[in-house]
Amino acid sequence: MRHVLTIVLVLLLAACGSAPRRDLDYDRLHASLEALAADPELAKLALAERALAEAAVRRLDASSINADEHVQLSYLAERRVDIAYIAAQTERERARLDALQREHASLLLSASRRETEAMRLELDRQRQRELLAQEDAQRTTAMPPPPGVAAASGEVTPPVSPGPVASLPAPPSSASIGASPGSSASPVVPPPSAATAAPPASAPASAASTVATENSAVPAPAAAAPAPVAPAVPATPPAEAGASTLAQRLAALVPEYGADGREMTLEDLVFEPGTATFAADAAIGLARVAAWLAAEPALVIRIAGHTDATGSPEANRSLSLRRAEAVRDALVDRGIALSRIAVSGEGAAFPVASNDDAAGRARNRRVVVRLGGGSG
Amino acid sequence: MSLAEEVGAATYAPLELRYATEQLDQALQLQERGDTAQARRLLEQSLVNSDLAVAKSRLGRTREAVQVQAAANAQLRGDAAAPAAETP
Repeated sequence: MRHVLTIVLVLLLAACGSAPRRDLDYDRLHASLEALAADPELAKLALAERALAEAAVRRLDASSINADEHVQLSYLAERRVDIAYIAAQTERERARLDALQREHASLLLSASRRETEAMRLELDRQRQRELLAQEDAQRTTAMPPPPGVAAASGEVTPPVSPGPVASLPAPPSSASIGASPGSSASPVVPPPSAATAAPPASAPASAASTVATENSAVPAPAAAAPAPVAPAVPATPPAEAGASTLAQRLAALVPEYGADGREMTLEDLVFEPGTATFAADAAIGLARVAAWLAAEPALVIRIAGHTDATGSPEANRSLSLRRAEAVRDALVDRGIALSRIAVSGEGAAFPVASNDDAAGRARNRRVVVRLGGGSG
Repeated sequence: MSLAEEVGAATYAPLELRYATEQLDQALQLQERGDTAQARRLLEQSLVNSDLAVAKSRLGRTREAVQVQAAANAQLRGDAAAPAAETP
């Protein structure tokens, strides 16, 4: 029994002797480092600084150090742990800064793109405004003088409604041959028959009545159209015809021989500026075109809209197509079979003049009605 | 300590920089007196305080840069949202 008590006593003493020495500084710093290692955001950052801190804490744990050395090592270890934390936080902040800088670059790029797009739209708007202003200016210069002034000056009164009727049998090609010497100086002067047949008092006659009489007068231009004289007579370029009115030019509209067959060209002033809406005098030209087409019922018709190079290609193509469709609809209204007609909007793809000056751009803005070679 | 001053410790970690400076001065004085053991301790403390000053300064500068950058980005985002808000 005494042996047993002795053994128990010895075991208790041994247990007391082997109990770990408690170092509060070490425990605190060690726990701090473990917390840093367990932090999901900081665990993988600043590994070098953390290794230095762990080494400093391990030196603190050595049992051979005296009190002064313990104070010193504790001081150093505590600061190394602080440095490890701060270095890890710095790396995390640096990663955030990198992400923000990337986002900044992306935002700048987006802003630049937006600015470029806004500038492009503004330029398009400015070009469109310039285009409208040019068309307005051209319309203003092409406005017919007041009837009283025209009569007083002896100028030919614009044949608004009866003009085309009377002029159809005698297109300018033949009219110019038989015209008086005074009128032959201008290539766009309407036929003498138109001038003589234009009663000033009946000028406001409606376009509908004009179309009705146009269709009845079809055989005459049909007979005149194949005449070989036609190629020698160029269509009246709008920019060169400033001295005549739109109505006069339309009344003198005749087919030409183009590369793809006979065609008639409606100038841009037939439309309201920037739109596919017909101007007031457009009916004159449309009636002449309809009469010409009606005389060739077996041939297909191709209507192509064209613009100048101002503005965006999409807007130009859209406008040219809408104008071609407007001409098609007007011709159908005048008795041309819809099945004969194909329309296209060419935009600025096929200029006939330079787009560098207003006159050239005005010539490029047109709708060409072409009588195709195939039988319809 | 030169590095600490270079990265702006006077602004971001003035206390640590002052400790490091004072400890270095004391270490030099003790070394002149022949107390090399205490001089070595003070030199180690000066060194670790310098490192701490550098670390704090870098953190402070980085945080400031983050704030500036975040503000700039917020401004850009606001500018980007403004035209969209104007359109009906």
